[in-house]
Amino acid sequence: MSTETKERTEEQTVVFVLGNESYGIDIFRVNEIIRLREITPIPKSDAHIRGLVNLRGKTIPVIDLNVRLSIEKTEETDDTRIIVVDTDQGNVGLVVDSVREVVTFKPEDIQDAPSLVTHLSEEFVRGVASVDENLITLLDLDKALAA
Amino acid sequence: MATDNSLDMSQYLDLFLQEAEEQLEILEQETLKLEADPSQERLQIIFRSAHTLKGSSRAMGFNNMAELTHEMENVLDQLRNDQLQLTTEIADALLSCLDNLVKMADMIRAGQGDSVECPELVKTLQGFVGSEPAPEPKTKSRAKSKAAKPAKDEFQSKVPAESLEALHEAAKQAVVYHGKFRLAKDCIMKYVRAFMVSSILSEEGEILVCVPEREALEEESFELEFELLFQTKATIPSLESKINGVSELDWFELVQFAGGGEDNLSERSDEGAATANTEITNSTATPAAQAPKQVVSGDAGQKTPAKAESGQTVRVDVTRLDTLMNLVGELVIDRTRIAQIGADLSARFEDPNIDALAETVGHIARITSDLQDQIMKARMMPIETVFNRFPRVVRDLAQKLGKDVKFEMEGGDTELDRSVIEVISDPLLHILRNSLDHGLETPEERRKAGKTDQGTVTISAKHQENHIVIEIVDDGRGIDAARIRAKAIEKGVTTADQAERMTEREILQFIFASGFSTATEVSDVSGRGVGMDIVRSNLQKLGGIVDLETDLGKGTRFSLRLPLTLAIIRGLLVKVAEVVYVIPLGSVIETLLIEKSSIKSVKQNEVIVIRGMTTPLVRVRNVFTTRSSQKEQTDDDIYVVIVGLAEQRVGLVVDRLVGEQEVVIKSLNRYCGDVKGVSGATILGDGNVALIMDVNSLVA
Repeated sequence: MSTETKERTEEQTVVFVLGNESYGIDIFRVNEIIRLREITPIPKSDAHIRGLVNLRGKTIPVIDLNVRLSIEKTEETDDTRIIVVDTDQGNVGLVVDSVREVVTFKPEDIQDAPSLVTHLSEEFVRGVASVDENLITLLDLDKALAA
Repeated sequence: MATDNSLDMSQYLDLFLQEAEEQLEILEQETLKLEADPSQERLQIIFRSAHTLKGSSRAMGFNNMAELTHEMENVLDQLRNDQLQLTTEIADALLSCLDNLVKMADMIRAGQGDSVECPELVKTLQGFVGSEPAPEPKTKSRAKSKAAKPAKDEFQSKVPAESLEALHEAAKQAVVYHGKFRLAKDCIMKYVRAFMVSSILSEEGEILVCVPEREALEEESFELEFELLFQTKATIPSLESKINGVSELDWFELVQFAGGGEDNLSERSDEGAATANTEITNSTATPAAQAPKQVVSGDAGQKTPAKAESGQTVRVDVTRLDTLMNLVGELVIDRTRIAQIGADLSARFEDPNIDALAETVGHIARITSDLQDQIMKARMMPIETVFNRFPRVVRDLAQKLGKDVKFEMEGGDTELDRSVIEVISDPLLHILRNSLDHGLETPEERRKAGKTDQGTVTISAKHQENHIVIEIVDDGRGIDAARIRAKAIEKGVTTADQAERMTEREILQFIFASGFSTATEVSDVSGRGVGMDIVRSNLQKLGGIVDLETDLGKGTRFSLRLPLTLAIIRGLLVKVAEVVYVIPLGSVIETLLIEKSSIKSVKQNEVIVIRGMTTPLVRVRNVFTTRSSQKEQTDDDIYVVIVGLAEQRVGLVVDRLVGEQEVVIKSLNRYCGDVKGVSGATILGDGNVALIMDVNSLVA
């Protein structure tokens, strides 16, 4: 019992970069991280849907997080990655500029977002965590992916 | 204690549902045949199914189900003993029992218990039994079914001669074991425990003899001990450890009884019987006529009709087959890649190893395509699974419409992919209903027309090339093209002028137009004008074609042509704005390379004239405006793919033709929303994803 609560209090998040800021999503939602590969566009779909990729024989939709979060688009580089996350509609890929690390923080490290984040639609944000002097914007994945 | 029970029950729920499903299937099929052919044998099968259901539902505590099956059993028992004559009412009641049982099973599966109550039905059933004239019905039935009530008699009951014979037979094949079980004194649910034990044993083998009989076990009219003779593939220690898991079992023992090749059963059975309360020795004296027939194979499994096949088939979860299919798809993609790499290497280096690689790749290619074939075959199902529900529908409908119908089914063993099976049932049902309602006449009308009272509707299936052809034929009044023509003009679907020029065949196509019904009265069966148009559009979505022929006064023939599978199609690969799309080859009529100047404009729509036919053009680039480059093609030569749906032809303008390939269809993730013009996606040989065009929506 005690170990369980202890685990709960600490949170692990996958830190990635969009533009020049760090963002985080809950590690339990991340399935894998793959290199950018050929994305087949879907005609007349929403702007943030980049298209479909082949993930070991499955076709999964890929979301452009830059577009979704209205962040200025950056060039695709060798560091560009697709983070494959679990949603209730199956796997979905998120294109990010790069993936940095996995960090652990405590609930008290999380602060409310709105005062700090100005350009990001606040509904997608759970809060901001400051870890080792770095600020990480924590995304609410379900809201960020909801149509 | 209570929690302990419920835990155990949940473990057996799956088993129960599986068994219920099997038995309900048997019930449905046999009950339908019963009216036409009320043979003893059939009654026996139905009785046994009802009986099995009663037993297992009672064991699981589903009392409504147990009650209903119990009443069914009573009626069936009198039927098979000729104390009751089969009437339409009884058949109706039995079918309605079946409906209720299916409902119960569904609810149980949904975790809601068997809360379907049907007191009227139970009363009806009791009414049949009550109206029965013989003064002492029970005595006779008891003698035959050996459902003797007194517990003591039951426990002393004998293993019948037939069983013993079967035991001899079985013992020649494999070792027969003898298990003795004693339940705890304070055991509350004796049958449940016995049922668990027998389930364990029948899972790993087959139970041959059960003492006391299953019926007595169910009614819990036995003391604390019961015995089973069984064969098994498992080892005795493993069985022992499993049986150890059954609670409230006080003591048990598994010993070798007989068999294992030598024909020494007669001696040993005496020995064995001597220890086993001498029941078996006594049994030889039992007259065979009195013996119940099904004790031998009957127990938890009770797969009477399928018994012989049980060793050769396995049930596989459909999702596993789908997964396998996907894995093979990946393998195919990787194979293509390896072949590509091999080709690159051999162009750059000269090395015997590279030649060997090419050889190996060739071999892998053969194996993967075989593998793909085999898995496709495993996904095939006989169309019977769809057909089997029709007799019931036809029967009910014919009764409702007051028509006398002979319904025939042919080619039920024709196999097609389960993805197709899943979707053709409703369209077929629509057509069948139409044939019965509009096609067939009433007996009076038929007599006037000089036909037999009984109309015939036949549904048949057969393979033709890479397609399956399903035909629904009736010998009814046929379709009056003149009436259709008048109706079409009246409804404003066409003008009198146009209609005048149309051929009869074209006129008949109006049947598939939406909002078109020639029935003067709207019945709740058909006649609302929705239906045939849905039938056609649903079939077209599958890449199928529906057609009809009619002979006024003689009958109508509907024919459906469907691809064998929806999982894999042959596709034409085209490039539009640097993206590869797949057009299902089934709807491609031809591909053309035309000059820009040959495109004409009619009412601001682009058309081309092919062999005198004006064909509208659709620029795929404009339909699929993507965020990628929108640069209009400036070449003089233009590639056009002519696609057709029924009579319609449309030319799709594409940038380039890439090739032809078999593609595995994958549905679009719901996250992408409903994309117009795209019916799915697939993975190409180079590992990239390509979208499959929905020709239907592009043409419309």
